[in-house]
Amino acid sequence: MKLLSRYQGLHNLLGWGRPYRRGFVTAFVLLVIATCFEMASPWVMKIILDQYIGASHQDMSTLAWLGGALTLTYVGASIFQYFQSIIFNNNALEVIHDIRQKVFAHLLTLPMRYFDSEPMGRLVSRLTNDSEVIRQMYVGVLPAILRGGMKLVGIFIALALLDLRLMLLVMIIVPVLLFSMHLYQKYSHPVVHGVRARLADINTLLGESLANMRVIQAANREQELRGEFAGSNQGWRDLRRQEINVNSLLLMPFGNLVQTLALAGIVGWFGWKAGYTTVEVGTIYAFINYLARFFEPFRQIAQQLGNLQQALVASERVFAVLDETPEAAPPRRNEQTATAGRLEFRHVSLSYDGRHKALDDVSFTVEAGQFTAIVGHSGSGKSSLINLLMRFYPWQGGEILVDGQPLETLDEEHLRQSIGLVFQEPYIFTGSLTDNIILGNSAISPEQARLAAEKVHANRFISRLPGQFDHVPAAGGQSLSTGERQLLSFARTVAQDPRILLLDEATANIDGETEQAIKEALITLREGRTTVAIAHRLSTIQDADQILVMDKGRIVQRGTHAELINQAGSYRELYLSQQMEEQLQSA
Amino acid sequence: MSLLWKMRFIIRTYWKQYLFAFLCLQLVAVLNQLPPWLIGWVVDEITTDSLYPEELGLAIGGILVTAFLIYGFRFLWRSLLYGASVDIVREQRDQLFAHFTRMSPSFYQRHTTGDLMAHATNDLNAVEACVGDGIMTLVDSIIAGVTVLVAMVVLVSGKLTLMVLVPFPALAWITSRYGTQMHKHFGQAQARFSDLNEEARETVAGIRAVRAHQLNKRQSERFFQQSRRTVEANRSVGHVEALFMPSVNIFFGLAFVIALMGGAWLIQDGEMTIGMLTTFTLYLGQLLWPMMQLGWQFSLFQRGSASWKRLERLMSVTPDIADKPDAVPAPTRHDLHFDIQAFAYPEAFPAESEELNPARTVLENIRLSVGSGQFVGITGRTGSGKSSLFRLLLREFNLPEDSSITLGGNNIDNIQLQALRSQIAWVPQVATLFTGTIASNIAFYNINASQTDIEKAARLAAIHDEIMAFQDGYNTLLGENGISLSGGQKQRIALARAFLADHPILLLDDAFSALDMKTEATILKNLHALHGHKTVLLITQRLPELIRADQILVLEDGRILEQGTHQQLLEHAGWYARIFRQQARSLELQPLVAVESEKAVSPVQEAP
Repeated sequence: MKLLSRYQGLHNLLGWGRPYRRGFVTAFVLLVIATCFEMASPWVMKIILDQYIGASHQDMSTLAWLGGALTLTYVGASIFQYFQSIIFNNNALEVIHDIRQKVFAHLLTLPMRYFDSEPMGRLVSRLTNDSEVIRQMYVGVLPAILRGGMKLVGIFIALALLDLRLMLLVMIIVPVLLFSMHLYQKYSHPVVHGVRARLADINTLLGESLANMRVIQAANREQELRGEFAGSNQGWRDLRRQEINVNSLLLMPFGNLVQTLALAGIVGWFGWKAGYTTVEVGTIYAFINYLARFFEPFRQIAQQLGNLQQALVASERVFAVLDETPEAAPPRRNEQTATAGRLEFRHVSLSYDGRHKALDDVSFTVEAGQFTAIVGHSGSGKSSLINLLMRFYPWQGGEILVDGQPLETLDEEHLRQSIGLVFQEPYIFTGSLTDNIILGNSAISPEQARLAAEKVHANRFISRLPGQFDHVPAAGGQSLSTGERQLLSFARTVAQDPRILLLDEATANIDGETEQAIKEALITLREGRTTVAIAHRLSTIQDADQILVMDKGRIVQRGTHAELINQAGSYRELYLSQQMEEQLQSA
Repeated sequence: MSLLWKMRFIIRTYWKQYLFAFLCLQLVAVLNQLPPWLIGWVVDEITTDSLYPEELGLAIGGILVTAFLIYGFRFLWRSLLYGASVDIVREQRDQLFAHFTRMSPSFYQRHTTGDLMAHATNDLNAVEACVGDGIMTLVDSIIAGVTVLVAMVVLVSGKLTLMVLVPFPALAWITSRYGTQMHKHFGQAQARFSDLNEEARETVAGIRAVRAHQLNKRQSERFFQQSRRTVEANRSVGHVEALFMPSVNIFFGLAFVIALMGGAWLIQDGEMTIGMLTTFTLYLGQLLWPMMQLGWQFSLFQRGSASWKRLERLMSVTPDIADKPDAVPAPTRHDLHFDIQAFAYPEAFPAESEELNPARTVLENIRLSVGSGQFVGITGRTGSGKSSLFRLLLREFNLPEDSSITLGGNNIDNIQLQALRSQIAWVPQVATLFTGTIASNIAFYNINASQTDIEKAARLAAIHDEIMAFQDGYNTLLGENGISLSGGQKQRIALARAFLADHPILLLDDAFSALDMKTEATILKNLHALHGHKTVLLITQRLPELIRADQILVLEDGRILEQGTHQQLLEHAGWYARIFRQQARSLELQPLVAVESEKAVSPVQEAP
C-alpha cells in the first residue's frame, strides 16, 4: 500500500514533465547514443589488441584507422553526453519553475484559516526548500538513475556478447552489492539520526546561551555550561566516528573489494579456459574494462535511490498545498463599490475553532463618514471585527452589510478598493518607498504618492533618507522605526483613497516627534471617510462619534467619550489607569 | 594550502593519526599496483601458451590477498584521518563556546546570535572538510599519483609513460578551472535561491497585508521573476556541470589512444609485451582519480581558508572585562558606593536605542551610598539611565578612570569577576528562561539546590501555587518543546531564582512590571522581610512600591533629579511627589486594576 502510494507520488511528480515531453525524449535519445559510443571504446580496444597487436600482419594504416575510431568513441560519447545533460537540465528546471508557480498561485487563493494552521516557516519551506529537493530529483536523481541504468544495461549487453557464461557468473556480484547496501541502510540509519540529534542539541544550547550570555555570566554559570556543551559535543564526536566507520566498512572500500574479487574471478576463468581453448587477450582486457565501469553507476544509483525517497516525501508536502481547497470564489454578483460607506453588523457571531465564541451577537451601525472606536482588552474581539470586514474569515451567524449590500456578495476586488486597512504593525514590502505607497495600483502616479506622503507628514522622515522616495528599506522595513512605518502606511491609505478606513492603532512606543506627526496624520486620514478604529490609547478617540467597549466577544458599553466617562464601568477603569500610565511616561 | 600552515599547531596534536593514515594510504597505493601487474603476467603467459595451473593459482591468490589487505588499510586510514578531523572540530567547537562564554556584553551587541551560530556550524564544517577530505585528497593524489607513475615507469615503460602524460596538463587545468567556475556559479545559484526564499517569506508572512492591499498579482509576478532568475542561475551551474565530465573524458580517452598506439609501436619493436600493455592501461585508469582530486581540493581549501579566517578573527577578540592580575576575592562587607563622573557606552556600539547611543552621556554625576542591608528605590522615565546603573554594578562595562563603584570599600574593578558576581543576584527587565524544567530554571544560580529550597524560593516569589497547578509541577518542561508561561509567571520564576541564589545584593530591574497589584504586594512584603539582611536595589515606575525604601533616587537624563526618603521627597514636592500623588489617587479609585499581561495565556487566543 505504501509502495503503491509512493509509486503514485512518483507518477504525479513525473506528470509535471509532460509539457516538456519533447525535450526529455530528445535527451533520452541522446543518452542512448552517448552510451553506445561509450560502450564502443573497450570494444575498439579489444579489436586493436586482437586484430592488430596480437595478429602477425601489422600495417600502419589499419592502426591509424583503429586509433581514429577509438578517439571517435570518446569524442562522440562526450559530445552527446554534453548536449544530453544540457537539454535534460534545462527542461527539468522549467518543470520546477512550473511547480513553484502553480503552488505559489494556489497558496494565494487559500483561506486565511490555512495560514493560521500552518507555521509560516513550514509554508515557505514548501515553496522553496521542498521544491529545491524536487529540483535536485529532476536534475540530479533522475539523470543519474537513467544514465547509470543505461550504462549497466550497456555493460551487460557487451559482457554477454563477449562471453555469455562469464557474464552470468559475474551477475553474482549484483546480489552481493545489494546486500551490502541493505546492511548499510540498517547500520547507518540510527547513527546518522544520532549525529543529527546531537547536532540539534548543540545548536539549541548554543543559540540559547548566545542570546542570554549576560544572564549566564551574571549567574557565574559559564563553567557548568561549558561542561554541558562539551558533553553534547563529545556525544556528537563519538557518533560521528561510528558513522565514519560504518561508511568505511560498507561504502567505497567495500565496492572496491568486490571489484578486485571479481577481477580475480575473471583471471581465474580465462586462465582456466586457456587450458583447453584459445583465449583472445582483447576479450580479457575488454571484460576487465567493462567490469571496472560497472561499479560507479551502481554506487550512484544506490545513492540516488535514497535521494529519490527524500524527493518523494518533499513532493508529497508540496502537492499537499495544491490539494487544499481554495476560498470560495467571490461571487461576481455585485460589481459596485461602496459609495457612501455605511456599515452595519446585525447579530454577528464568529468562532474560529467551532467551540469558543470570538464574537457573540454583535450588532452596531456606523453611518457613512462617521468615526467609531473600539476598545477592550486583548482577546475581547476587537480584531475579529476587522478580520470580518476584511473578509479574512467566514462567520457563523448574522449579517454584515456595506451600504445595505451583504458583505459576502461584494466582488473581491471592489471590496478591497472600498476598504483600506491600516495595520497595527504595518507590513513593508520589498521595494522603494514609492512602490510601498502605490502598491501596484496603476491608477496612482509617483507624484500622487508623493502628495499622499506629504499629507500625512511622512515626507519629513523620507527626505532624510538616502534616495528619498526611491529609498529601499531593509527587509521587512527593519531600517525604519515603528513610527515611520506607521506614517508610510498612512500615506499608502491616503493614496489608495478608500471609502472606509479600518484602523488598528499601534501599541508600541513611538518617539515624541513622530508621535506628534502621527496624531496629526490620523485626523487627515479620517477626513471624509467612514472610520472604524481599534484604539489602545483613549486620548486619540475622544472625538469619536461612537465608542464600542468590547469584552469576551460582546459589546458591553457603547456611547461617546463624554457619556462613557460618566458611567461606572470598564471604560472609566481603562481611562483612569491609562491616564496614570501616560502621566508617568511623559512626566 | 596556507590554511594548513596556519592550522599546524592544531593538526600537530594529531600527528600520529595523520602519519599512520598517510602510511596506510601509501600501502594502499602500492598494493593497488599488484593486481594489474599480475593480470599482465597472466595475459603474457596465456599468449605464449605457458600458463601453468600453479601460476594461475598464485596470481589469483595474490589478487585475493591484495584485495583484503587493501580493504583493511582503507578502513584504517579513513578511521584515522576522518577521526582526527572530527576530533579537531570537537576541540575547536568546545574552544569557541568557551570563548563565547568569556565575551562581554559589548561583543554580543556587535555580533548577532545568528551570525555566531553560523560561525559555530558552517565555518566549523568547512574546517572539518579541510582537515579531513582536504588533507586526504591532497596527500592521496600525490601518493597515489606518484606511486602509479613509478609503477608505470619501473614495471612497464618510461617511454610510454612520457607519451601518455601529454594530455594531463590540460586535464589538470580543466579540473581546477571547473572547481573555481563551479564555486562561482554555485554561489550565485545559492544567492538567487535565498532571494526566492525571501520573496516567498514576504508573501506568506504578510498574507494579511497582501490580501488587504490586493497584492496577489504583484506578489505572483515578483515570485515568478525571482523563480525565473533562480532557473537562469541553475542553468549556468548546469552548463559548467555538463561541460566537465565530457571534457575530462575526451582528454583522458586521448591518453588511452596514445597508450594503445604507442604500445602497439613498442610491441612491434619488441620493447614490450601485450601483457605489459594490459598492465599499463590498467595503471592509466588509476591515474584519473588523483588528477581530478587535485582540481577539487583547490576550492575546498579556498572555502576552508575563508572560514578559518572568520573563526580566527572571532577567537582573537579579547573580552573587554577581565580580572586584573591583582584582583581580590569578594569583600565581606556589602556597602555600595557609586561615584560616577560621566559614563557613555563605548564606540562601535550600534545605536539600537537612544539610550545606547555612544555619543550620549548616559550617566552623569551620580553619587550614591548604599549601606549593607538597605532597600533602595530607583525611578525615573524610560531611558533615564536606571538600567545602566545596574549594568555598571554588574561590570558589564568598564568605568572611566575618574569614576568608581566600590563594594565593601573595594573598587569593583579590583574584585575577581566571579567573586563580584557571586555577591549579586540580578533580575533583568525581561525575564529569561532556559530550556529545561521549572525547577532547574529556579535553581539557575545554584544547580544543587534541594527541592525544599526551590519551593521555598518559589513561595517567596508567589509562584508556588501556580507551578503546582501544572500537571508535572516543578518538573514541567519549559522552552521549545515545553509550555510557554505568561509574562508575569516568567517574571516570578526569575524572582524565585534570585531568592534562591541568596546573594547579599539583590538587583531588581522593573521586575514587577507584569504582575498584578495583589501579587506585587505579597512579594514586596517578602522583600521587606529581608531588610537588614540583604541589600536591595529596586528599579520601578510604580512609586507606591518605594514607600518603605531607605532612600529613593530619581533619575532624569542620566542625572540625579531628586534623592531622599519617601517622606523627604514628598516634602520636596517635585517630580516624585507629583507622580506619586497621581498614582496613589488612581490606586484608591481602583485598588485592584488587573494588568492585562498577567492574565494567563488562554489556550484559544484570538486570531491575530
